[in-house]
Amino acid sequence: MRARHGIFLLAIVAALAGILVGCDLLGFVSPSARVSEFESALNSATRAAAYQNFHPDKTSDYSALKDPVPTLDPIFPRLGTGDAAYSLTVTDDASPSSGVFVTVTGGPAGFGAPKYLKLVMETVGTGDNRIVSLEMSTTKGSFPGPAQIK
Amino acid sequence: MKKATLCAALMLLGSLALQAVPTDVTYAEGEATIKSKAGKQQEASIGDVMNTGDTVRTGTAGLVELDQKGITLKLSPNTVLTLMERERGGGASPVLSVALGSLKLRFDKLTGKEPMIRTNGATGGVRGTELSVFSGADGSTLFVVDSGEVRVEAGGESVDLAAEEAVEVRLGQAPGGKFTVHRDQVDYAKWNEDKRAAMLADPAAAMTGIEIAMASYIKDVEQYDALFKEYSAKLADERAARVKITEAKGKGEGERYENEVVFPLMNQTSALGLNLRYSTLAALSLRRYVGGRLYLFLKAKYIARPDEAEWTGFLSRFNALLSDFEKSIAPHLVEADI
Repeated sequence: MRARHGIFLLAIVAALAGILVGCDLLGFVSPSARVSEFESALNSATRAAAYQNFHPDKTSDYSALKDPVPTLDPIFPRLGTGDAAYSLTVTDDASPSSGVFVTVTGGPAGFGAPKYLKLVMETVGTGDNRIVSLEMSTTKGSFPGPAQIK
Repeated sequence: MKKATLCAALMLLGSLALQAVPTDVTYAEGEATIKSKAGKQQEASIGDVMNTGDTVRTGTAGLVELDQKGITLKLSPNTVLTLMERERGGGASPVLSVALGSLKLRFDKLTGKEPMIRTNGATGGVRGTELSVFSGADGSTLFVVDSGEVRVEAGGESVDLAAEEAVEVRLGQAPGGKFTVHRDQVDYAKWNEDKRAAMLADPAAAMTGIEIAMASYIKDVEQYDALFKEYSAKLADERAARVKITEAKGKGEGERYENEVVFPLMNQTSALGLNLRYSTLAALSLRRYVGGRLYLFLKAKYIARPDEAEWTGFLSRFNALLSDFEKSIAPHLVEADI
């Protein structure tokens, strides 16, 4: 009986922890969650919050990213009427400090999806993964550099 | 800078070798603070790591020593140093921006990738192993070379310095004549006090230098901004062309066009943002550390005589400078810069 109670309690704790982590209530943002937030920022009208997905201390272009027009817009053209939203799918996030690999679909026709991203990430605080550099490629698995944002 | 020169430089930008250079704080004493590119300010401590966009500032009795992968940087009191980058020779190059004060540099060895040094009125290309840079209250700069060579550029002219040679550059002017000096013979505090006294004795002349330098930065910002817009439009056109090529000739041809035309153009357009930002921050530094200080010095001097012609004349020119700054530079600044 006590063993069954213990398992039940553990399950509740695990579920609560999952909710807290998933909602970033502990300040933890997994690499996949960061990619998801970056995707939302790219699809937003102003892209004003996009810079918040980057590492404030380790991204050299951090201040410049607060203005997305000369920084993000040349890489990800803005959505026009009728364009499909950008969709970012994580294909490998085993080693964020070496690179989280992402396939980008959607976007305006001129964007020429699919495109492939290598997002090097490092944490702020205990587990808030932020993008340190972003490199885009037209070929899956080929990232010869340089990074477009670093 | 001519537009043609800018265009030619851009055509060389096949790709940018973007490499930030981390800089370690190896010694800190007295009042010394680091302001990160995100706007966060903290006391400088041994072991801190600075990156591009960060600024270190020493107070009246502050001393800081930094190590930037084989380069030792010693900041004297009352010095402001920002780590920057700009495009140079097809790659992003580090720049040490000395807005105010005195900086001594020692290179363990030369690799050909030495950072450029900039002050409010001059730039220095380093081919030496030991040199000092003094950035004065009036925007003047003094380069002193202990060993090796340094090329100093300002106002479209350059001068090459060898060991134990120095040159002074007054704001808005070409480098003066070089002279022989040993670094230890330079009393920076006295040199800076002389500059400050000269600036207050003839504020109209000081203001002229500031106006010339600001006009040069505004011209650069406007040209980079115009080029950015031009390249953005060109990029949109080429992306549309790639769509048509894909439709007409198939996916393979579309991808070839993407790799050969669209992608390099995208990198060039992004690189323009780097130089636009470099010139924007240079103008901000000039306004903050030279123009702003001159304003404060003169305001204190004429606080009891606000109708004096020298003060009202200066104020009129200073307000015109601020107006130009607000119109051409401020739109490119972000909150953290201010």
